Amino acid sequence: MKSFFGRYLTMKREKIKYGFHRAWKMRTCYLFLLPYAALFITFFILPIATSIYYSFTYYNILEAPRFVGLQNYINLILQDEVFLTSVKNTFVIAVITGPVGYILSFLFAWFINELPRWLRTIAVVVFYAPSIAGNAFYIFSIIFRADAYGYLNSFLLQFGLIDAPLQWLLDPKYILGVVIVVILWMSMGTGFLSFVAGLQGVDRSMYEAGYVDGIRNRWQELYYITLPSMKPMLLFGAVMSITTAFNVCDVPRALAGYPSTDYAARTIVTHLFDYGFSRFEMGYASAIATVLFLVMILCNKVIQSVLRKVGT
Amino acid sequence: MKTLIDSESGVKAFKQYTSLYNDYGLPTVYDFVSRFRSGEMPIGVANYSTYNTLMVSAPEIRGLWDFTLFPGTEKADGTVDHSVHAQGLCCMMIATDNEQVKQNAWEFMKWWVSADTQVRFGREIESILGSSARYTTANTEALRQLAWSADQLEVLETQMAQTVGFREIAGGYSTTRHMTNAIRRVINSKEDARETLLTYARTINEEIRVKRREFNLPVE
Repeated sequence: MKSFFGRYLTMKREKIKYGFHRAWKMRTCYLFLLPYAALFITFFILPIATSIYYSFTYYNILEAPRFVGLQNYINLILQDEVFLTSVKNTFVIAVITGPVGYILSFLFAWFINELPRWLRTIAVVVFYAPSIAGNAFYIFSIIFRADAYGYLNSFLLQFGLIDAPLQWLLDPKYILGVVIVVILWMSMGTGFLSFVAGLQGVDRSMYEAGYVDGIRNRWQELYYITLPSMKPMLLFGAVMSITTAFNVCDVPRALAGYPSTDYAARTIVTHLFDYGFSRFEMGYASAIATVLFLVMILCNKVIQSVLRKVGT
Repeated sequence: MKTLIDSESGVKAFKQYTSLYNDYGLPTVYDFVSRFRSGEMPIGVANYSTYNTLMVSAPEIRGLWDFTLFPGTEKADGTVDHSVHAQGLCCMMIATDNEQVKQNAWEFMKWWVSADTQVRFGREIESILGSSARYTTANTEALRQLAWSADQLEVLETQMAQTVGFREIAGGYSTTRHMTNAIRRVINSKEDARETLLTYARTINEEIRVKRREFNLPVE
């Protein structure tokens, strides 16, 4: 037994020494990696590690952090009802805008694929414009204003459909619907661009081979040839849409106010803002951020394993 | 430490306030400046800085309007109570151990809030940006020396003598937050005013208790 352990440890030591030797031989490669690695560590790894550290403390910025162990997590999961509302809202928004936005991006990319090139370029600009137009969704806060002279209210009043102005962004009944509509409008993002590019890169000869083999209509062609050829693009689009759907915070905050009435448009990240920037409970906010991080990793793994099976 | 919003006078005031919207149909969201100019709202309640906006942006109604005291309620002895609540800003200094830094910061704060500095700042900003940017200073002596006319100043000073400020306590943000929720619930879903207010008062009290415990203040 002892000799077995001795030989095992020696083997491990030799492996590590060999690893260092190989790394030293290729030290210029590591030098090339150094700028990107430095930036990545400073702006991604370090903040995540700091946040996980602070989530185990009680920290308002004026005093030094005080270690409290798992108390933040216990309060978060067992005692905070607003957090449960925010999780429900985020999931509703993610489930509706994530898949629907993703499918819409793909469908629109597929529809405009057949157009001549100049028309396709114009269509791409029209569809992609909401994403690059910065904070252009503020225009929706004017359209949906609860004023009797707001665009939507005055339109409905003029045609006699309602008899008093509806409080679109102030009434808990309507807030979530309005926010979902605006997010869908903005959902043709980088995923859409990658689909347009990917559809152009599909091999034409595979379509001909498919027609010879018996594919009869466009839907079969879509499922058996187009989708499998675009698998990397599908994975990328899925990852992007999951990330943005969980991170949704600007749109509810700009439209529904902060805090929203009865917490009807509270998402996980706006909850984090409330605890971090209004109440200055940084430990609690870091606990929320860590929980969100773990949930997003889990969802990404699930989606990727599902998408690997498409088309087979 | 509890909120007083659910006392009898608080409930009565809340009922009166929501009845203005529910029973008389006053608009809840509106742009006062535009509606005043067009004549749709001939009378209204707004910040006194709206005076400057209107003077500059509505020259066509110049001379046809003016501002006066807030509409008040008649008290038992016949006089009218014009109380209104005001918001103010203040300077705060966080103490460190360095005596020299503390002394310098204190001197700076005293200089900044003194009447001379406030008057100078107000006059310079009005000369650069025009009368729409008249400075709403918190220093009452400085207010007297800015570009208000004599009778406007009389109205402002009478009103300022009857303003009431709210005390801020730990967890005080939850009062305004849940009051707004209560008002919106009564106006939009037409629920009963007293029930809604008592429900939200419970939430407010819980939040105040949590915050006071966090800062080791007495909870009772």
